[in-house]
Amino acid sequence: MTNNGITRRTLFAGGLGIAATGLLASCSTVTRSTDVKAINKAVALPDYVPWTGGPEPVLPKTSALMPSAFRRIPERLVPTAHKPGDGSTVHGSVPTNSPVPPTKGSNPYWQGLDERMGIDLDLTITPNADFGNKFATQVAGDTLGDVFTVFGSFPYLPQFLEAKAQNLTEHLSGSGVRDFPYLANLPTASWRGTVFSGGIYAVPVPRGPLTSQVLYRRQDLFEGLGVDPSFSSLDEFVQLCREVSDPHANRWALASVPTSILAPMLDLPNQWEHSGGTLTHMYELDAYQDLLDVSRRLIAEDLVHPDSITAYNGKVWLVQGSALMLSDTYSAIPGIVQQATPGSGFDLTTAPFVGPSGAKAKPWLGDPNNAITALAAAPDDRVRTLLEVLDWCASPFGTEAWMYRKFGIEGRDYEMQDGSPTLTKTGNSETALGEFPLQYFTECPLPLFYSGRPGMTDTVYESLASWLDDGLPNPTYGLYSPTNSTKGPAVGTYATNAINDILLGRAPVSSWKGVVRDWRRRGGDAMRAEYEEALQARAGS
Amino acid sequence: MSATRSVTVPGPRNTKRKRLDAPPLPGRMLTGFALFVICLVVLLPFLGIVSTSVAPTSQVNDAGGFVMWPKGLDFGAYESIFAGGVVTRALLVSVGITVVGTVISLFVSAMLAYALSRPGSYGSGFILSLVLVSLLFAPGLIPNYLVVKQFGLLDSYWALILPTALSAFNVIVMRSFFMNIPKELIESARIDGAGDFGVFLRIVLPLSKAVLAVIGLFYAVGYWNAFFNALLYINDTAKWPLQLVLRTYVINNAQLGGADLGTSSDALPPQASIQMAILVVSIVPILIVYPFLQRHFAKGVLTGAVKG
Repeated sequence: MTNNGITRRTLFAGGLGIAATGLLASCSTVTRSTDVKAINKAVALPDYVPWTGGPEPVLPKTSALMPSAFRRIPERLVPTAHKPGDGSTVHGSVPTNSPVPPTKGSNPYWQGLDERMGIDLDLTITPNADFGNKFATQVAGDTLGDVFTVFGSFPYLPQFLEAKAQNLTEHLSGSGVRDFPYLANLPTASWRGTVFSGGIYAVPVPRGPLTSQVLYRRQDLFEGLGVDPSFSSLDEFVQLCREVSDPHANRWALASVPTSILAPMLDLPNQWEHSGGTLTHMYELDAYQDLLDVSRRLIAEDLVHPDSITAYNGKVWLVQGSALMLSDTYSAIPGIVQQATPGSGFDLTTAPFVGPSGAKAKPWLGDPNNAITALAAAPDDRVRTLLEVLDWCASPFGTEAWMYRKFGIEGRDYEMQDGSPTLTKTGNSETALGEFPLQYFTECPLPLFYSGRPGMTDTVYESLASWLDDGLPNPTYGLYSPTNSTKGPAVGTYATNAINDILLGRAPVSSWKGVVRDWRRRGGDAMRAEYEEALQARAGS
Repeated sequence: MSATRSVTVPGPRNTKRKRLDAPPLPGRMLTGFALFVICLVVLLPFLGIVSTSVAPTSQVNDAGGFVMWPKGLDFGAYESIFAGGVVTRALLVSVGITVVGTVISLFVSAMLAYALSRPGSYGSGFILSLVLVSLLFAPGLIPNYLVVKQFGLLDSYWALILPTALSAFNVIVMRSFFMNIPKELIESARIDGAGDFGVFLRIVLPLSKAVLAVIGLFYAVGYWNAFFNALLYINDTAKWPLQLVLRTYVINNAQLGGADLGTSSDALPPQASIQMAILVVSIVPILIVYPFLQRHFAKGVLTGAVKG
């Protein structure tokens, strides 16, 4: 190096300079406030005004949380009053879990969305697994667009939203939301996830209780084996798994360890237990050690698919029959049913939840939102136009807009079969299997409706009705903890690795107490303190 | 008295001379066995991928999605993905990026390496230091994105070529190779009236086929396998290369519908067969190129690596 006229010291200093430039470029807009009370300050949430202009649900609402249930599309759809857009281009950035649809030029369905919304919709679509990386670069490059999906795991989320997103409080808080009737139809629990630093910074992408986990069963395969799939205790459940598992026949009882199903049997809280103003994490309870013990036994006895931890593909295993039971969200049903070969006798049922020692089960209630959607800072009239567009995206079951969003153009994207719309091959592609990523702008509260499978509506309804009022929500949902935001992923990975070591027999269950001590030291205690402070702030303001 | 002369006739040559340099038989057997096992470890997964892609639907479903040996041949998965849908388009994009990118990369790398290999080139020491800095300190995701954006390359195929057109490692290997070319050859060319470009194009490049073949393969494999830049820089999904499609449908497990595949067939092959067929399509082109360049490999890499 010396003969080039550059010393090692100069080279090192240059390297540091380059690294610092990169860091500053990525962080220049984000402040690092850690004032927990200020960040978690409350605001008047949008009024909840249920939409009553549509068809009556066919099954009664047994709980405030119960989605509206329908078996068929109504004969008369409610028309949309006007086009929400003003002809301008709306740039959006959204994730997708479905196939990426064809681009607008070769996608008449997408062109139809433009026509109906009165905008030129320009979407950047990123597969969900890669959305985090893409989002980080878009933030740094200021290329997020007008409307962008934000996941709760983004570090320094409140500070980011304050810097980059429009504060929507004056448009949506309290009665303001009534100008957007379909947004006013979104449940209050969903809006709680959009409040940061005393303002409403986003619109929810609601999923309601359908994000809760349930145990799916291949009823047809159980019947083929001559085994009754019911169980009323933890021991009976393990015994049932033993009866149907046969690794030599490429068949396992479970696609993965069903933690959310075992937890109610052991009376475990949904992540945190909130009692008398203090929080206790489920990791700290003796019952969690019992959960690890049962889970380990299930794996050791070959009752769980052997790739469940290293190469999980549960839906495919359930459909192929190599797993007879799968723990997944209620909203996973369409994806599971879609993979089943027509005429194969595929019959899906859900297992009832079981409580500890015969007591009533308190299943975990899923978080009410999939994500939130923020708007880029803009003048008032532009913001209201974008909110009109989101309002159209939230038009519920029974409206023409909902029908088009889900099924597209009749005769091209779908055909009516026995009174039910069925996507064609073209429709599957153009609408991304009925899940066009526009659904990540926002959605209506998800109805219980399974086109062409009216029986599924009753199956899911009965399952939800059996526990919704007793469901346990996560008490920290919608609260912000700076430690969780920055250290949460690393601390979570530490705990997950320790859990996997125990499940795979690489560490004894007794090692868990040491893991919890470490978990608390690494950030668990700090998160608890911040969440407790946040709970006080929300209660006091 | 006549003197008698005795003539010694050499006996027959010992043709069964023992090879002292050869390792003993057990050692050779052990080596052979170890290589056999390593080959199996490498080839078995590939066999499974190919088998699953051509196995009948019923066998794939019965086996839970992965078949080690097909009970029959069913090319439905290949017919589906080559029917003009998303995979066919992505394959064309990947081929285009790989060919154009490799040519550009070889050209700029060879020019830079040649300039740095000639003693006395103006500023060569400083430029070499810059090249080494880029080897030691990667710029990172976000600065790269900002540069691509500032150059207006977002959503352009050039965003998949230009940011990775020059690899410092490859430049160093090429530079070392060029330094081995006898300077007398270059001086002779100059005496005959050749300029710098003439020497480079007519003397240096023809003598450097080995290193060009090896570095070309490095670049080609890099371009062929790249998906992350496409993920970051390409918003228009019609411009996605094959590896990004592969990632979406194989790693992320998204489903391919009939129209995605460009087929109008009613009965689609199992998802696993289609995924494995896409995998085979993504692996085979590089496998085909490899044997043609293998003979240049040792010479290209070793000559370039030893001389510093």
